[in-house]
Amino acid sequence: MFSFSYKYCNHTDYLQDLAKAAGVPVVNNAITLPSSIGTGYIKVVELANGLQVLINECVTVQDVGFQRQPTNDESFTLRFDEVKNLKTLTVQIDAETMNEEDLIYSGAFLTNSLSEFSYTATAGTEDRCINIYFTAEWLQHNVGIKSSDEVFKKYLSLKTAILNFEVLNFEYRALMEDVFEISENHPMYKVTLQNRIMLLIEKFFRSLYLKMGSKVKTVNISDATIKRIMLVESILVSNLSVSPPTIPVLARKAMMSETKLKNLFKTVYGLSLYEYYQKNRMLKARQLLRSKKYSVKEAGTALGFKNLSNFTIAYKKEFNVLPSEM
Amino acid sequence: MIVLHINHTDYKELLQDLAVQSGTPYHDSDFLVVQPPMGTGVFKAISLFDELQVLLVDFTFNQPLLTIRERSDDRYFVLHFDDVFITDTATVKVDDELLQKSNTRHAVARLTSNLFENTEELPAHLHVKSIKVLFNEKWLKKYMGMDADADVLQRYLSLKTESFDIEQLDPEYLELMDQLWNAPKNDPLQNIFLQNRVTLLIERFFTRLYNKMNLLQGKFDLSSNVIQSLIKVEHLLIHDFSKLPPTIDEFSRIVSMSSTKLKKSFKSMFGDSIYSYYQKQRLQKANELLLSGKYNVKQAAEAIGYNNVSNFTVAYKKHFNKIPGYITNTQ
Repeated sequence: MFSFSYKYCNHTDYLQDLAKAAGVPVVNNAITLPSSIGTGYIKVVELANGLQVLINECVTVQDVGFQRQPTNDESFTLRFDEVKNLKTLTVQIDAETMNEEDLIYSGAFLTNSLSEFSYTATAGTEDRCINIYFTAEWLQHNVGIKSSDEVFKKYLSLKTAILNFEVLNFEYRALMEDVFEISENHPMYKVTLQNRIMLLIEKFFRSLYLKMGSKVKTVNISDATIKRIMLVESILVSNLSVSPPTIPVLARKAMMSETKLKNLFKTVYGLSLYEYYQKNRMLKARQLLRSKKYSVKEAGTALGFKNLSNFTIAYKKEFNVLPSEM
Repeated sequence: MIVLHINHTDYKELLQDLAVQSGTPYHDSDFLVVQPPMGTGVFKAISLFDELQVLLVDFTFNQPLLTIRERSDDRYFVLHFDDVFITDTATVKVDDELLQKSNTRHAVARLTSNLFENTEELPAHLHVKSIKVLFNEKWLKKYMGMDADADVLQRYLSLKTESFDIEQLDPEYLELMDQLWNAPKNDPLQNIFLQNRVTLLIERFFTRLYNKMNLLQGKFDLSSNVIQSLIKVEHLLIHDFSKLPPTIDEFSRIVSMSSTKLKKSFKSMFGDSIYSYYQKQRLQKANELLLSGKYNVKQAAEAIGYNNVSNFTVAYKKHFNKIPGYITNTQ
């Protein structure tokens, strides 16, 4: 098992230390994993507004464990993770431990440096992660919110429950996709990256304030159940060119009744299964059309529309413009 | 006529001056309500975290308005997102280059710099809705990683008034602009919300500018001989609409250029194919004739070479989105 223990610090220092532990050099603020640990890269990007962002896409070949020691000065990291092929994941925040088995994880969570945080993941785990580091001053100056707000305290007191507090939906994923895909040689690389990161931050805090600030009754769903809903979501968005499984099939996969699945899905993702599927498909269509590599016909076909006028109608309904007007 | 000198590099100061000039009481440092008799409307200034300055403008003045932004060396840029229904005629000047627009919806994004003098003359009672983003050389370098002398900027700015119609506001721009106008109040995340929408507007403008400048490259690759020939072709094409213009084959003989090369270079210089350029110009001409009040629809159609009035009506409707009778009826 590869194990790495570090003191909470900014991403540049973290990358240096990690590189040393893994025995690889840092080149252009990035490292490539040695084959003994896995494949993939970890890079740090410094944005013009002072943010440090750590981006990684990795697949491990042995178990890995990370232990972060607490510090006295408060700073924060906001992580957006998409993890697949997980046999066992153990996350510990201070004294609380959580175990995940045989599932996928895709969620966003915020931790602060005052708490201890560690996790271990089994070999073969695929992780795509965007990790944003900032201080309380940065937050106040660039987002306009104070970390002394009640919502922060309430949120952080959830301990490991924060892991399933904010699940990633297709809107988050579309923003993340842009971060992973934009080429470093693009003249607008830094600007686009910064905008996507700031939109991720906006979206996360919007949700945090909404869920924590209001008197809205938070529905209690067990972590295990949320995992199964996440699994359904991942099936729903996995292959857009073929029809998704029917609700009875999805309900069997989630090991719950159809009614329960439908209700819970709506609670977690805010949309019904079909609406969610359709919205995601349309968003993807827009992405394809914007890339200018797809004609309207190709985009429609790629998203499983046999009839192009249905595609056009659905697109128009979603975005109020025709796909040809893109 | 109201004359405004807008050399400000701080939109709050601009609002103060505007308040004094219009005799409007001014309480809030970033909000100004224009009242009659001067006109009606609001001006709203927003300062963002990264020191970008944004001005939201929505007004109708009761008199013609002349704005002047003088030349200066301090390298400021303004990105305008204008949505204006121009009735009558509006005039835009960049240094000595003049552009006039009449009776059209002008919904474009454009970038101006104070390397050149910029003036705008707007007729009375024009409803102007616009979002302006002001930044300087330093901001450009820090956030865009772009030098003020960057090739893409220089080429764009050197187009002067020609650059004005390059970037039309599509639904995506308009949606972002709407979001800025309708930002939720009392939102703990209002600041980042505004900041993000403004930077998305900027990102979109510049991303598309890069793409277009690569396409426009052709324009700057044309040799001066070719440009001379194209100017000749353009003149022959539109100097007399009552007669049919030469065919493309005839043109290609006149300027001794292959028809493929002619078609291609014409498009890169004038932005439209030969036929669609011809069509746009003659409909514009017809519109002027109708507006003069001396022509009825039939006469205007004949003057630009349509013997069949209904064909003319169809073409006119396609271009201006209203029938030609609309103008003659309202007069």
